[in-house]
Amino acid sequence: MDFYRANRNLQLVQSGVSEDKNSASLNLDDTQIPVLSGFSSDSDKDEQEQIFINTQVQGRLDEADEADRVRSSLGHFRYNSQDNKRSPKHKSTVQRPSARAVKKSNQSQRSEAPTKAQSLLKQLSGKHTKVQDMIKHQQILDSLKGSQQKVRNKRKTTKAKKQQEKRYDTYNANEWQHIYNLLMEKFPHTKPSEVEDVYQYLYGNEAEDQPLWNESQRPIESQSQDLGSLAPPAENQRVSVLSLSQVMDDDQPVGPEEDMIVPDSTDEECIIIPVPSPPRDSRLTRPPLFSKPPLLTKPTLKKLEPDSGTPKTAHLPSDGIIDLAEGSFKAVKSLISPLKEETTSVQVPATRMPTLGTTPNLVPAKEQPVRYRLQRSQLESFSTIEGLVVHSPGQSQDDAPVPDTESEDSASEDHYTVELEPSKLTSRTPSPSAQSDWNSQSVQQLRQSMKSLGLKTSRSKHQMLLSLQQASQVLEIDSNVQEDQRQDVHNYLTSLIQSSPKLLEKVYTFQPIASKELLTRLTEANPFVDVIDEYTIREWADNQGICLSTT
Amino acid sequence: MDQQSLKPVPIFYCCYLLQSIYKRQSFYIGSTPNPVRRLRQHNGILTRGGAYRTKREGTRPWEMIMIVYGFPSKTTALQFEHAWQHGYNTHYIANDERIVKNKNGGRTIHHKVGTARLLAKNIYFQRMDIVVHFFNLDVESIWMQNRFNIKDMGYITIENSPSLTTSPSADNVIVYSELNLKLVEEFLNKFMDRDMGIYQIYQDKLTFGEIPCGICQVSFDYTSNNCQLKPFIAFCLHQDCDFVAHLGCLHRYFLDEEQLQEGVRNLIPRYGKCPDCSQILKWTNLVKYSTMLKSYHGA
Repeated sequence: MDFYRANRNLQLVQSGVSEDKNSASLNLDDTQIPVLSGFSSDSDKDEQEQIFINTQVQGRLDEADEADRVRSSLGHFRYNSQDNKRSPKHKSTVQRPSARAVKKSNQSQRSEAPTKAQSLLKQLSGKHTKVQDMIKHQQILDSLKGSQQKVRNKRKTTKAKKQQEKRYDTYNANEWQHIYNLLMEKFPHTKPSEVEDVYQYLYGNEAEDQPLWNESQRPIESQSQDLGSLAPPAENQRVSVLSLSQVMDDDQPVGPEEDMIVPDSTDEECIIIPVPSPPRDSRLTRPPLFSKPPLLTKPTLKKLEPDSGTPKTAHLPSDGIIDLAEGSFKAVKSLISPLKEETTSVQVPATRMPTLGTTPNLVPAKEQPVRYRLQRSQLESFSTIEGLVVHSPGQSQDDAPVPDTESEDSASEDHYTVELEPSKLTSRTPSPSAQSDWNSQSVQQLRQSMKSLGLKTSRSKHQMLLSLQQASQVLEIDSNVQEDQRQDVHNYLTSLIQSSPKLLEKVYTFQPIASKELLTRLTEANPFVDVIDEYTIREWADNQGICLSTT
Repeated sequence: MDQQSLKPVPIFYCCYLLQSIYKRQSFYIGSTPNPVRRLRQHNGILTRGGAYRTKREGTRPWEMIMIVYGFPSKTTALQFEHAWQHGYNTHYIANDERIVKNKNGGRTIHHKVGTARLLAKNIYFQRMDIVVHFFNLDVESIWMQNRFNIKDMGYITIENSPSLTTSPSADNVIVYSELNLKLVEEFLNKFMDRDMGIYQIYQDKLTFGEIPCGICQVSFDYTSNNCQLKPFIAFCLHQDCDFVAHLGCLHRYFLDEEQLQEGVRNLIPRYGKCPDCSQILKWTNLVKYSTMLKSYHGA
């Protein structure tokens, strides 16, 4: 990642200094950010870039023209349709590729006057507030060394700005269908291809490589990992790196997570358009697959809801990630979770879908399940997710889970409403905050938290992260209350014994159990036991009156 | 869980504390299923069987001043013995409660008794309903005195034998030792008689053939040769009550009650009420007879 280049460009855009002063500020930058020197690439590439940039700029300008053209045609739609409610949204939708615009302006600004660059930027993106926001973050980063107080003030303002930005977002497939229908209603003469053009502009070809878009979808964790070794993970630092990565158009290899992202994406707060087709509240209607909020708003969301009590549930709607690659969801091995055995009533699944009807007593009543509407074809890939409740299309209005045998023969384009039980999510999903915490923690910190959990510590950080991740799939791990964590491990072990009649009988008849045998059996029941420290096991055995013998 | 590997709860196993009658500062901690035989070994009356530590010049004879019994297995008795001997570093005593701080410390009777008390209140041994029995009332008063202010967490059963009228002196050492042995003998015989009596009653009941479980109504038959028909069973230990059930059924029943009261579902219940006569049944006792019966019939 050419950090310097991005940094420099941002500086230029923001300050609007003339060309001759640029060199001075460049040097200033170089000396000002020694902390970030790890990100710098070779400076001798500059010459090559000069050549390269020119062609790039040309390409960008062409794109800008194209954008203008499309926007004007869209504007045509907007003025004629008297739907005032939607018009601002429309606008923001059109101006999606903001980060690209930033770069564009940054590069074109080399050859043109800075004021022109700003106007171009504004013209191209229409999202110049967002760009300015990024710039402001950069400023903050620079001035960090200067005064902390200043930073705080500025962050307050940026926070406020970010709050406004939440309205920039695109629509999901349902909404697009709705918009399309509305457009066709209002403009019966419009060719479908014209609408198609708009769609193409917004989402591009699915198959085509979209590094920027993918980059903006990259989860925060992976970015902050790079930073982990440098400095304590201050929030602002994370933010700045994110914004820069958006600025940069470098070709990052697309991770496996990105492959799963379907272009339909929306932020929770953005769904204003009432889509009549789904019967429930449109707030609950989620895009078919994963949606990530725009990266810049993510820290804001965290900041805005710190007092929502349960951080897990607070993150849940804002992230809305079902990341199969991270192994957050366990494949269903048994329909009954050993942890919640008493509360789970299993309905015999008529198909491969697990139709778990649970009455989660651990979850506050205010929590609502996350609901997704899925195409039939997409449904299959989710069949392994635990806690998934599938509603057949006909019965989607009532909340009772229905075995979807009847729906097999319904029309193939039917939408299924799929519910993810919040209890499952909170207990099974490693909370993203905890995970990112671990990633950024030092080895000593990790070791400490593992000790408090009663897990085996290890020399390698990677190993410990793996263990913690395993633990988080079994237990609710909250890095704040580590006192009860050990008890949770104990309770979990107890529940493992309870689910094994043979072992339980051995225990309640006071049969001495060889500790090795007990360990093997427990590990068979759940491999997670393997990462538990032996001392923890012994402590638990003592508390439960299990007689361990050495032979 | 095969019958071959089943280790029944021993009818008696104890840890004991010996005090030299000559040298009152000398103590010895050991464990045995037969304290009478062991005491005789220690005193050199029985020459078979090792008694190396108690052989030292000027220490014999030894007085068995207290025993701790009721262990559900030899292993747990040995664990208690070892912990009692190593009060300065056993993990059954929390560090902030330790009264014996180092290897050479804790040589007084107060330390010995106090360490036993600390162990008996440990949650691990609490589940086993162990009983502390004194053969010397002076020692019991030391327990009562509780010099180290040990706060009992659970309930520790204390018993004593009638005190000896004589006190040890240079003249009556042999007599005193014999009296002490007699006390231990009496205690053990009484215990064995009672236990074997109960055991015999259940043996007889089992000869009736098929008996339905009082909870799940599924029958078992200890007279058959089919091991499938011989699960762990539990009798109500109270006279005039004929309640019989699978040990597993009663386990669930007791745990359900305990969970209702305490809110936690443990693996081993401490006690419960007989579903028929509503009298308290100690889980350890139920398991003891259940495993004894099963190992006798099943093996």
